[in-house]
Amino acid sequence: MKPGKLILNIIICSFGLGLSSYGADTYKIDGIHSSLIFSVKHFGVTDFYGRFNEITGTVTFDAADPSKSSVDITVPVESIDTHNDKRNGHLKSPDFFNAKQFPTMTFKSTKIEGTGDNYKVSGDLTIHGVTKPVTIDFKRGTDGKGGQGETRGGGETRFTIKRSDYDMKFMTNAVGDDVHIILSLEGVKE
Amino acid sequence: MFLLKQILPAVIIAVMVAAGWCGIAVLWKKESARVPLESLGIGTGYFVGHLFVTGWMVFPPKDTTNWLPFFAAAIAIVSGFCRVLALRTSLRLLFLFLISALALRLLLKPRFEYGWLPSEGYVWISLLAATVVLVAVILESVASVSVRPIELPLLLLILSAGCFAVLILSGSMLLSQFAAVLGGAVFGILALTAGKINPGLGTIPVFALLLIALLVSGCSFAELPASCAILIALAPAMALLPVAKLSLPVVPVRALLVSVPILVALFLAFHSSPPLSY
Repeated sequence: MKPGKLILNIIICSFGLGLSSYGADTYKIDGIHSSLIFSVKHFGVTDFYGRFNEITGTVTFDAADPSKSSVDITVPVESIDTHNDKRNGHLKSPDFFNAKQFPTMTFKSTKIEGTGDNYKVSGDLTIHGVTKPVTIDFKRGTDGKGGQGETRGGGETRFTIKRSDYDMKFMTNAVGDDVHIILSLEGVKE
Repeated sequence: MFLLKQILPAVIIAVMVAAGWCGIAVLWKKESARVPLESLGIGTGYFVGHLFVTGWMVFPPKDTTNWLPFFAAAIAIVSGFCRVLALRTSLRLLFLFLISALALRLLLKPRFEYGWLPSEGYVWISLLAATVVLVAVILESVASVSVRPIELPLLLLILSAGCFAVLILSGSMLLSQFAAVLGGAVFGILALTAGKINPGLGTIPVFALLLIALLVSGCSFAELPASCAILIALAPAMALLPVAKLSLPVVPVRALLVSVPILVALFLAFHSSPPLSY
């Protein structure tokens, strides 16, 4: 290829890439300032609460065209924390999450729609090796500046899943089937 | 009480299914059909009991411990055929090794994904499959020296109970429930004694594979120390000690001898794992 033609191709490709990413911001999830909290009924009496202490992933957000946005989250099951070591161990055992077989939970979006601060995020939620499509309502917060001058963005969603849908059927008479989830995400703009 | 309510229905189902097949074996006049029916008894007894615990599952199972009922069915059918065809012992054991290796490869898929190198994994699979064969050989030797029809089933029940207890201590009630189901299927085999038939030969391959698979699951996916698993797997060898010459009742003495390594395993499991009460 002639040098002139090569330079022209590079310019065209660069321009194309620039156009395709124009308007989309990528946020790297800040695991310290994000929270994944769950609650589940114990013996039908009352809910106990737990959380996962590690969340990683990225959110790409295109305000002009939300359909071009995407969410990709990974949560290590080992990071479960219910304020009781024995219960944490039991939840990680084959009776529930089976953490040695299924070390992570993931969510990958397939479709995002909405305007302003309210979005419907559809995607594949994988827990305990089982992947199910879910659609959640995500409320976007306002962007702000962090201590280092970085731009931060985020939002929150609350939804409920049935653990039996994810093949976690053991002891449903003692530990409820409905799991209520609060996911609050904060990310640093890249 | 809660645990009993959780465990008993599946165990009772396993007993009934296994006893049903063995009842047919007792009524069947043909001698050669009895051992295959006994294999089917323990295999389907475990299969149904396991499904009763987990509920209906997708195939192939996501959770690799849910391969266990399929292993039980496969080894029951193959070992039944081996007996019908009167295959040589070496050939029977070779089939047991091959099916065990395949079963353990499926069971330990996560270890290949997250831990072992392929070569390392296949060495482990070969060693564990050889252990299944070793346990089967030991149990067949015990069957050959047993003095009462109840002796071998009693030994298998003691092993199931030991497996159940160490798996509970390893932090998984689910795995311990599977061990209880195995014990239930063995208990159902006792129906053969009603027809004055010595139970055992059809039970051994299925039992050996399931026992090792459960112990391996405990070590791989729960917190069962390997030392406990080894002690329980090799405990039946204690029944081969020459006690027949002593002027003591043989069956209780053998049961006691087999219980010794199991009690040591329980002690070790208790001291290395936290109880589930919280």
